Amino acid sequence: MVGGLFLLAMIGATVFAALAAGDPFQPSETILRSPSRLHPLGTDELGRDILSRILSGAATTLKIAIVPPAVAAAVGTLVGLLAGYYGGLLDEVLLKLMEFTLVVPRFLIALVAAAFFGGHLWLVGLVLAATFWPSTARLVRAETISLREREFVAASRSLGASDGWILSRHLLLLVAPVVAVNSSFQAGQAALIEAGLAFLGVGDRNVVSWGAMLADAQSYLQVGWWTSVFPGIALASMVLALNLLGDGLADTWNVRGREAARG
Amino acid sequence: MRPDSFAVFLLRRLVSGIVLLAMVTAATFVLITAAPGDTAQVLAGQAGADPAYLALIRRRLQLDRPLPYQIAAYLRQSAQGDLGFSVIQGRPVRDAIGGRLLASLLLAGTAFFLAALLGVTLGVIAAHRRGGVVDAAISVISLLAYSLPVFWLGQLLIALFAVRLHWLPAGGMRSADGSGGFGDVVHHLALPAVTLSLLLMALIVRVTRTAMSEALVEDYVSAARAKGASEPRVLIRHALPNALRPVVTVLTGYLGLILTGAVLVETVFVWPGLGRLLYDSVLARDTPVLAGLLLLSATLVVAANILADVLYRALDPRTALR
Amino acid sequence: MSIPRVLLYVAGALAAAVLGLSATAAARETASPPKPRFGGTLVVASGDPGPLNPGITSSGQAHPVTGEIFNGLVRLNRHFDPVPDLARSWSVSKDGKTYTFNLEPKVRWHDGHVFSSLDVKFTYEEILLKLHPRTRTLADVIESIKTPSKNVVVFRLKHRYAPFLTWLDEDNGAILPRHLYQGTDPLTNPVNLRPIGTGPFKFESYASGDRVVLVRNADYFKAGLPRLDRLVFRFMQSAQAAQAFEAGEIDVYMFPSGPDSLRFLNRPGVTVTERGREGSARVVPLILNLKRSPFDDVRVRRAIAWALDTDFIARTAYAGVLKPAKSPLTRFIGWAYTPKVQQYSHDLTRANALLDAAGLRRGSGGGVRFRTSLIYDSGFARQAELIKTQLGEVGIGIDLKLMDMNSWVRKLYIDKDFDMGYTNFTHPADPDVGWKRIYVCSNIVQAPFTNGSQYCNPEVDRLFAQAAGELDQKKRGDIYKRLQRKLQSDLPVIPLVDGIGPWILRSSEFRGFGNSGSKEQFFFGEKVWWTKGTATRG
Repeated sequence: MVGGLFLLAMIGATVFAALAAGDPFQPSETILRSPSRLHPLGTDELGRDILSRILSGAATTLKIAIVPPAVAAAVGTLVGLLAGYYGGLLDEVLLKLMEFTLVVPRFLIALVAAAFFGGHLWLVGLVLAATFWPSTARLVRAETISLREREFVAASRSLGASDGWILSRHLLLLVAPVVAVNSSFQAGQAALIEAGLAFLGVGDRNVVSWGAMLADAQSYLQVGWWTSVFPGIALASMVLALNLLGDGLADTWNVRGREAARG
Repeated sequence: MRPDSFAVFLLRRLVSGIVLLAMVTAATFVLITAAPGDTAQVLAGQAGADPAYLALIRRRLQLDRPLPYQIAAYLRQSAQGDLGFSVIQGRPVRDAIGGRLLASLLLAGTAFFLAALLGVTLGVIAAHRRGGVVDAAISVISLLAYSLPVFWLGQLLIALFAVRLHWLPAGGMRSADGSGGFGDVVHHLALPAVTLSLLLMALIVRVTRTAMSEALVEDYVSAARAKGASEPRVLIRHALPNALRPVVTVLTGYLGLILTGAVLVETVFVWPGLGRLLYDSVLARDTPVLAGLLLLSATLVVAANILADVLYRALDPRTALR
Repeated sequence: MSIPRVLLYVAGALAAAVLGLSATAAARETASPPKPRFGGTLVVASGDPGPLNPGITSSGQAHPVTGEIFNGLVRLNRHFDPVPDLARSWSVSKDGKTYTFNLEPKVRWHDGHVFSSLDVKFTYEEILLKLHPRTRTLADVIESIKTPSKNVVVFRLKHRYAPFLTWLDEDNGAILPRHLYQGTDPLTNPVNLRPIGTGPFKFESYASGDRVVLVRNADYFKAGLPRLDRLVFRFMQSAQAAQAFEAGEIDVYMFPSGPDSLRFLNRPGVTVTERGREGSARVVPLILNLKRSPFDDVRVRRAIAWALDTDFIARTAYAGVLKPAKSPLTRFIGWAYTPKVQQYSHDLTRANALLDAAGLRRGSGGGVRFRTSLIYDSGFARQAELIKTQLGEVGIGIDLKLMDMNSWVRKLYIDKDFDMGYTNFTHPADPDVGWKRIYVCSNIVQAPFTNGSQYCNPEVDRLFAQAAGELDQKKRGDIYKRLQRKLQSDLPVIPLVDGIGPWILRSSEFRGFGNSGSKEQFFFGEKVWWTKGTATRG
């Protein structure tokens, strides 16, 4: 649960940053300064405060780490529940669709889309959500298939419960842990993919991205280690926190963890 | 399992795999051609060209044909192994990809080997010392390896080992003078291979640890111990073979994804492999090469999935016992 | 010392060093020229050049390589004057319409075939005038090409054309082997991947994604040249090249970022210089789409110019290596350049007043006057972020659209689907070749690097046409100066910075660089030599 705590701290810091910290885009004459009291983490090659940029980058990372997995969780759960519960043609179509979307690695799709159509955050988010939901749906479907034959489902049905009631009251709650664990690993992946795209120069420049900071810092590693080290630590910690969160949830609910979340 | 049912299973998987590939190929082709900018424009370069020139090049490259025609032609040709011609590179796509294949295989192969070796070893040790300090340390390492962005780690490794210490080269696959042979390549391979292997290693550690922990409490392990087998022997001869099945599944699952991780690692380390070719062809709008690479990547994923299914059956202890 | 002054000092020192070092190096070479030595391998960081056919591309990645393999009829020295290459001499007829070139007599292709005037005629007629992205336009100028003898070529022009000779260098007029290209498709001919030229270096190998290796041409028609044994071009991006240079794996590194140049500045044995890249001199403009409101209003364009702190952009994003632009034309074309035009210093009061006058008042919420967007590629990333911040101060909200070069070129030049953009095009050699294309009505076409702002002013067009037909350089220069005044007042594009951009080389080991005025080819490898080489060619 360390991850959860760290994540909370990050969210707190982001809110704080939005309220208090300096403008992450404001350049100054003090270029490439080492950490000091005025600039606790130093300044970059345009004289911008790295601490402000890291805090602002946290907001970017959190957005991309939370929204697409959340959308994928919602869509994936719905589709997975329906497919698993009803089976039949819906299930067939869904399986094919999932197979289809899993064939080309999502990083490649995101890279091509971002490079060709401009790497706005929402576009990257869209690609991620679109490629995350099938794996969620697959897990939920498998879980639902094993659950729908259980006694309590039959019991509910014999008591006159509608399908909708069974799905929303019973099955939804029961598949939730699987979805939560899967989503937190997806969140870690999303953060890395966004940073990777920005690192390759196809990210969104209207927001601060840790990946873009790392890309810009490549040239200054020898003269200003702080330009690379701090954003790197921030990114690694964020991904670590999300993975720890996933591990913690998996342990708590006794769900299979990371290796299942790969797809 | 009856032998013919296995053949039927394989055949079905193959056919559906090919259908899937055709669909994916058509979809990626649409995505690529929907993008702004094309080969003719790239050829014109920074200096610019007049519309007549662009029209001339487009006609020569058949870029002016309707999209369905282009897709159909591409599917037909790629089915025959002809991936088209890259004007940007001035050579057939097959040669462009083939020219990078060796470098990619070398990097990916080494990374896979390192990941499997280290991952299984650490996983076995962790399971053996379950709950102890060593186990905790290994799990921290694996968590870190899973979370570190490869492009950042690569930067730091270069700064330390190449620029500061001058122990290893900063990038590339061979020295400038081209001499040195195999040793020279190994020298260049060290940093990128280690960087690329980390994520996979972390996964394998976890899978191995879980599987070994389960295997170590099985009856046959207790039986071996009771018969007085040494602990290493119990671990390696009795428990490990049973734990390998999930490891193999993870490994094959990642076989198809090796291009993905390699894009970043190859960019940072200037490795002349397929990942960088993909990135370069995205930027250069080298549509034929890009389509070829996506097709290759998809083929690898589909093939790896089929392979995983096959291995999963082959390594099934119940079938193996018979 | 206050911090801004420190920065000024650093930037000043850099500029002084960039210009000064090369000057002292040049002085040293002329004072007591060290005797060139022979042998050695020069390793250059470069982009992947693609097909090595200089006749079908103007790519800035291909020409640094092909420039060592091929020759043009002339070369351009660093003052952009044509000097002999394959043509040992030439004469121009009185009416300025007939150019007669006497070719070097004993030139062989790298495969042993004899070079002749037929190669020149073939290359122009079948390749350059048909397929070279820039040289194609000469088809409207050249009337005929005749080969009265094996060593003589005569170009007959349709009308007088002052910059004709500057078109004939390797960049725009590389001569290709007729015996290998005749009857083939030059776009797909496999010779493109193992080129045969007449130049100082012969092609040896091309490892995809990795390197091109060239070796000395022992039969080069210029006696005693080249001096190096091998040239290796290793493909890497700028950030990786910086690291490889630090690690001692490469000797020449072409496009350092501004701050990158800073760090190599006082390194012993390393030279940071602009010399030899004069052909890449340019004014980097902010391009405004004049077909879109509010950029159709000249007051808005001037307000943007007043709001921008180009001095700050030059000092930070370009580390002082490029200067704030004082004119729309680069100062490196001295005979045509003038700084006596309207100057827009950093003045927010004027900017705000002009925007108010244009009816773009600050709204009550947030004070944003209008929202617009800026498209660019990764080469302009830092600059774009500064522009966003600076224009934000006068209430112009900018959406940054970073895209890869091809998408950006498409949006800006083909689809004209943009508000603001930038371009990195150079003004090589002659204003008629590189500069005119930004402004004239006839160049509002769907092609890259044309008149993207869609500015159209008949008077401007007339002056450009007049300048091209004027053979007297002084009079031509005066016309271009009038144009600069006009354009700086109309501001179809806003000049940001002016300069060349340095390159970095290991001068402790390699000498003899920097005497080229060709656009893409910033050094002549034939004269470069290794300080640790042998005294004679053994």
